[in-house]
Amino acid sequence: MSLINKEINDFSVQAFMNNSFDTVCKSDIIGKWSVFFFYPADFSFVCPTELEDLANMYDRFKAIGCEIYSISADTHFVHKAWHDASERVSKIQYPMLADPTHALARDFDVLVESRGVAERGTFIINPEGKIVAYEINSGNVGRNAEELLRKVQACQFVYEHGDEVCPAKWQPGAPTLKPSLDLVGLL
Amino acid sequence: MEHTKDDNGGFFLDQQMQRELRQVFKKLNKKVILTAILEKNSSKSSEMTQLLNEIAELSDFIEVNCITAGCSPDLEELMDCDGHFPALGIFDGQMQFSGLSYLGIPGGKEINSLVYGLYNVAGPGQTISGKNKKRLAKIISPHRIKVCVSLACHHCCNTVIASQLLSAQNPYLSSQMIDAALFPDIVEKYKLERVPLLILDDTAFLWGEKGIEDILSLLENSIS
Repeated sequence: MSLINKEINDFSVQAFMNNSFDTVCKSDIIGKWSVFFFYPADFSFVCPTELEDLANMYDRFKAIGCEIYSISADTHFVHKAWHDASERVSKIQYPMLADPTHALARDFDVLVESRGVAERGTFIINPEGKIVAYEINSGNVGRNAEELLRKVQACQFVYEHGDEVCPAKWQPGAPTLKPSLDLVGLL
Repeated sequence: MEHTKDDNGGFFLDQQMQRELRQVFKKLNKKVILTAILEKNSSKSSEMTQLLNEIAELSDFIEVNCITAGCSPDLEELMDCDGHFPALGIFDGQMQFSGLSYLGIPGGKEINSLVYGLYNVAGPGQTISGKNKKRLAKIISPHRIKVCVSLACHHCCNTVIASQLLSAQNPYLSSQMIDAALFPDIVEKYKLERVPLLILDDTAFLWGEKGIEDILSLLENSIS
C-alpha cells in the first residue's frame, strides 16, 4: 500500500540534539518540511557515511526550510554515545530521534520485525504532516543527500504550484514528438 | 526512434490531422510567412523544414521561408535566437514580424500553439474580454516573453497560446516558445526541472500553466 499522502500518526520520542536530550513530537514538524531518515542501528558501518553525507548538506536543507530527523531503534543515550565516539557522527547537528518502541518504524512501515530494526527508509513530510515522497532501500544500499535535497525542492515546488506543471526529464537528441492536436475544435 | 511516413499522410501530420487543420486554416484570410532559421546538416533543422512544408500544403495563405543560420543576423536578433536553432518566426505577408516565435520545433502539444498563432496573426484571431483588452492597451513599452516548455506537456501549450495571444494584439510584446529539451544551456541557466516556465524580460518568472490574466498581471507588476 502506498504511503503517499498518509498523514503521520501522533508521536513523542526522545532525541539527541545540540549535545543534549529533548523531546520531539508531531507538533514540531507541522508547518515545516521534514525528512525522516531511518537507518538500522548506531555503531554500524554504512550508516555513518549516509549520516555524514546528510550532516555535510545540513545547511542546505535548513536553507530551504527543511529539518532532518535521523531515526533508529536505539535510545537517545546510545545516539549520544555514538555521537561522542565517532568522528563522522560528531558532525551531526540535526536531531537524532530514538525509536526503541518502534512506534515510528511501524508508522512508516519500515520495521524489520525479526530484527527489531528499521530498513533504510527516507520520507519527505510536507508542512501538513503528510508523506509526499519516500524510498526504502534494503540492506547496505546507501542513499544520496544531494539527490534527497533535489527531491525536497521538487516536492516544495509542487506543493506551492499544484499540478499545473510537468516534471521534465530532458533527453538530448530525443526525436521530436509527433504533433498532438487537441485544441483546434475550440477555434 | 525515426518517424515513419503515415499512409497517405506526412511524416508529422497524419490524414486525420490534415483534415482538421484544413478546416481551421479555411478561416485564415491573410497571407502568413513561416520563417525558419536553420542549421546545415542538422536533423532538427530538417525536421523543422518537413513540418513547415506539411503545414504549408494545407493552406494557400501559408508560405515557408527558410534561411540558413548566420546569413541574416538582423533576423536572428529580431527573433531573439541567441544562437539557438532551429528557430521559427511568424511573419505577415509583408514580412513584418508578428512577435511570435519558436526556438525548436512546434511538435507534440505545441502544434496547438502554432495553429493558434497562425489563427491570431492571419485569421480572425481569438477574442479578449474588454477589460483585458484595456489592460493590454496600457502596455506601451517593449517586453519579451519566453516560455520554456516540453513538447509533451499539456500545461505548456496553454501558456504559450496565452502569451502569444497577448503578443499578437500588442506590437510591444513578443512571445517565444523554447523547447528546453533542445537547449541544455537554457535548462542550466534557469535550473529547469519542470515546465512551463514563463520568463518576462529575463527578470520575472512564472512557473506553471498561466492564462492571459496572470501574464497581464506580471506585465503590470514589472512596469509599476
